[in-house]
Amino acid sequence: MILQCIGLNKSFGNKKAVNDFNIKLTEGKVYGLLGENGSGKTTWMKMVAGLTKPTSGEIIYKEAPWNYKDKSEIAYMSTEPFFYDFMSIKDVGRYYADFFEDFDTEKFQKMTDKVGLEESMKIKTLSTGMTAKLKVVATLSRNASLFLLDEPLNGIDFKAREEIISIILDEADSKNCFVISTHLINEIESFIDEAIFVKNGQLILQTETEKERMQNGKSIADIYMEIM
Amino acid sequence: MGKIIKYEWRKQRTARLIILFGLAVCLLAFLAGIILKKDTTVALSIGIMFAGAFLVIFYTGIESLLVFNRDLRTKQSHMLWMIPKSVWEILGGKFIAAILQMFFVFAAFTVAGCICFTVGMMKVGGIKMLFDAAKQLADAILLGGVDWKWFLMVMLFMFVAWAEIIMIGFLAIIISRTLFLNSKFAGLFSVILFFVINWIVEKGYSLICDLFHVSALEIQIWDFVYYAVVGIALFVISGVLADKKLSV
Repeated sequence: MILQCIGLNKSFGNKKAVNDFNIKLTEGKVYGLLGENGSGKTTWMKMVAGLTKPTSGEIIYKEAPWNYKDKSEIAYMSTEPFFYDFMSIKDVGRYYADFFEDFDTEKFQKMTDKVGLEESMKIKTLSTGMTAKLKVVATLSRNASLFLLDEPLNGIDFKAREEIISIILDEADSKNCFVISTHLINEIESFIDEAIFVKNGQLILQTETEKERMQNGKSIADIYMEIM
Repeated sequence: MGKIIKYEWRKQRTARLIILFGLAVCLLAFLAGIILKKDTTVALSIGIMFAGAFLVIFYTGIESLLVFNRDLRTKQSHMLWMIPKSVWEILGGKFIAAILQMFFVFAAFTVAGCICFTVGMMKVGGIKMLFDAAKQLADAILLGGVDWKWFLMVMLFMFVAWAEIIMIGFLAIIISRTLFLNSKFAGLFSVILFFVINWIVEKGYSLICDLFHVSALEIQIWDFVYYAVVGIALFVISGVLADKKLSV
């Protein structure tokens, strides 16, 4: 098991964004994190990434309580652009190389080429689609153990989506774990191993996609419509 | 921590370039005034540089706080807080970068002042007067004409007091962002909190001065101890709060 959350809670004032969240994730799997807007998906990811502090509960990473050093093995990508404006694409690569030992600069260069980004491009001049690609490329150029991708397919065209999915599938292996949050269920249904449904800050269902298809004849989209 | 300082230093690069550009323009105006014998230009450029030095050093410190606030308020905060470094390294790196930035600006204005002094001396009395002035200065330094102890005390006190101001700013922003997250009131609250903490620190200073019957008007070792202890305490409180409660 790579990650376990026990009774995790996060409140913002009176509002419970994450409510008694219990989950177990294992290596070698790709998880789809599904839920409506404001269901607590992003808050949960940010807590695991160490950006948001839980109000209560435990996060266990590789059998030990989470601490800041685990960020060296957890790669988080937020929905919104987060790179510094003063940087170029090359600077982003340097920044990641400076702070993450698992960052592979060569892989970064290859992937930027593959998705049509030039290293000399300035962050502030990038289009929405280009920024989305850069976020994915920078995050996946790390050889992390746990990848948390928050809406990686948002705001980008069909071709770029296919490229991003292809990169994710290339990087997923038996040693790492991917959690992909998205509203585009149809885009990820074909390659996720398990779907995690979140509603009102709570995990309401964690199920294997293949099992649902074979045993119950249901797609993830069907289940989503049933329980949301 | 060196890498954190490197990127923090880059965040204030634009401000540094604007300051250096403004300083260069003033310096060129001064030199042009000397060469063209335009006394008004010379006086004006010196006046702007002198007044500008105080304003710019003050602004540099404030800008460090604005950058810190932005690093908590915007999504760019993820760049800083996702790295596998402890809160102490991040806050320490930010603090050192803020101090370095002020030293840099101070050094730039000092060099500009020296250039103006040298050129002015040469213009008024030629190279001989410059050497005479240099000799007088050297004599004053070597023969004890300069009270070095007092000079160092003043410089060190300014450094400690300013460092403590930066620490107060950091704490005010962390408390504000912890309580109000991205609310529009968070910025205003941090400014109010900054003045409140500052008032508490100064009140504490006055109380202890009264208690031990020491004069608050003279700079003494006691002042360094007080502001250094307060600065460290503020840093520790900021770090613990950021570590336990701060979310970006």
